[in-house]
Amino acid sequence: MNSEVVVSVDGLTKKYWSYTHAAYRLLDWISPFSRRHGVEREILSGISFELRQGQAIALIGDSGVGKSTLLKCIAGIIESNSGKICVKGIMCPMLQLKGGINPNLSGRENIYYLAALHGFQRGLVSGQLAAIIDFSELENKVDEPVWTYSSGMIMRLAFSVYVHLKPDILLIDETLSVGDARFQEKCLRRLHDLLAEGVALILVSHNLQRIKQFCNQALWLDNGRVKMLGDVNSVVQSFESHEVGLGLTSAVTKSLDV
Amino acid sequence: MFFLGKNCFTSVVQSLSLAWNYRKLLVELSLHELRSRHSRSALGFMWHILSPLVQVSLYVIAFGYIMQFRFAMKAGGGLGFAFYLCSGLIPWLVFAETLQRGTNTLVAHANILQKTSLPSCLFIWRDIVIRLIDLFVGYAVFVALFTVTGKNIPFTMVQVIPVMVLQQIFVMALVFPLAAINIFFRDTLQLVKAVVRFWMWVTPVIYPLEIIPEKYRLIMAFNPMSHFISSYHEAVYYGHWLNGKAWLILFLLAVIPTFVSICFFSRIESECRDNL
Repeated sequence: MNSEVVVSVDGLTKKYWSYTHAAYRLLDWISPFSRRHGVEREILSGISFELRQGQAIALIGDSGVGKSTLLKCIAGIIESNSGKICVKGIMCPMLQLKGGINPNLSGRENIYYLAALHGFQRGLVSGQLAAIIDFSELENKVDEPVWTYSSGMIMRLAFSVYVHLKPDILLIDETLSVGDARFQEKCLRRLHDLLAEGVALILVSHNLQRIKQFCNQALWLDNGRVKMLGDVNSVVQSFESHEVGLGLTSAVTKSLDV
Repeated sequence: MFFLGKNCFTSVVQSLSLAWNYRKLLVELSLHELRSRHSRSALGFMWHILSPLVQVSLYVIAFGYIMQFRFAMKAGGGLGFAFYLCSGLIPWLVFAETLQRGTNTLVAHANILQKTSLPSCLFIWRDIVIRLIDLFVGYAVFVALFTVTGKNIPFTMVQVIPVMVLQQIFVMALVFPLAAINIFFRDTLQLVKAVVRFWMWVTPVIYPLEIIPEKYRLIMAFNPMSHFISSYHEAVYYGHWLNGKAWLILFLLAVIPTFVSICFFSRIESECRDNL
């Protein structure tokens, strides 16, 4: 393991203020005293892990344990309350492919728009434009407005943008099912190539098969805490046997995940 | 003031440096918005000229011809009154539009703000910038139309450019807290819409300040928008140069609320992001 650490998370804690009614929140905002009407809920506590170049880590766990919140904290979308997050290089959060697409603009303009939304300058996109359009297989359709596209085409466009912006770290939240089976295969191959080129991946997925295929590490989150962190096979195995313990056979979980 | 938080000066400096760091992106996002806004309409930008035109014609017909409003007659009947109306109504309409759209802007862009790490104020700034461009273009068209009809536009009108900028800074100060509160109370938008309608009638937009009885004038002085709208009238309709006091008032109206609102917003920004 001589490659550089690109993401290091140390003791990350995230809390939300929770109110029974929004009016109480407003009251607390303008009151001179400390918050008296809200309850602070801890969503994530003491999360620590490291990710190196060319490696992929999977965040697994049941729904609502804070996987997406953790991803958003790492991406800098929401602020964590304590703990350190160190990111080296350019990070690209691929949290929802359709988010950010502007249906009124053409496909070509959307490429620039999506890149701008992630803080990438126009110059960098222009150099990659041909490759992006080529990868998305949109051909002439790229100059038509996006509201005329099928949902599969929008996904293809967005995915192509993200993987061509040369990020150092990609954050992926359940976005791997893109378009038809053939294009999906192409995307997965592209992700493998990126990994080989040294891009680091953080993946949130319920598809354990795919996780084993991509990741070398896994982090099992339970109730906002790290339950297990380590080699992907052993973590996934423990997670599966835990699910079996809950009364779900692994066959059932697998078919649900597809 | 307690609700500004302890480090209000630091937060204002941070906010300004953030704006500077994101200036290129701000320009790019504004261009995208300008391009996409009219992409599915036939008349496009013309609507920004047509809708004030319809409104002005309505007032001119109603007050200049049918009801023969005393001031409208003094202003020189139909066209003179239309000139008076346009000089204040165009900035007012842009003010109202900015306030209403701005209040909704964080909610409207929730899907982007949940997925990217862009600062949420970027979208507020973008809306302010775009409406400022609307205002410039709208005013340019208004001046061009009246020049064609033979109206002599006074040179003092160049003053409207800084007034427009100060006006948009003032709106921005209102929009920051409103947009944040609108995340938690969607009623805020409805409330703003109602208040704007009321606000127009307590601002000398379609009537001059002079026809307001003396005892109500003080209330007018406490209405920030009446200072802005009066400045347009002074500069364009009456052809006066604004004095130092008037400029000072406009400047303070833009700066002080902005300071307060940036402090407040930076204190609650991360909480807003959590709840989008």
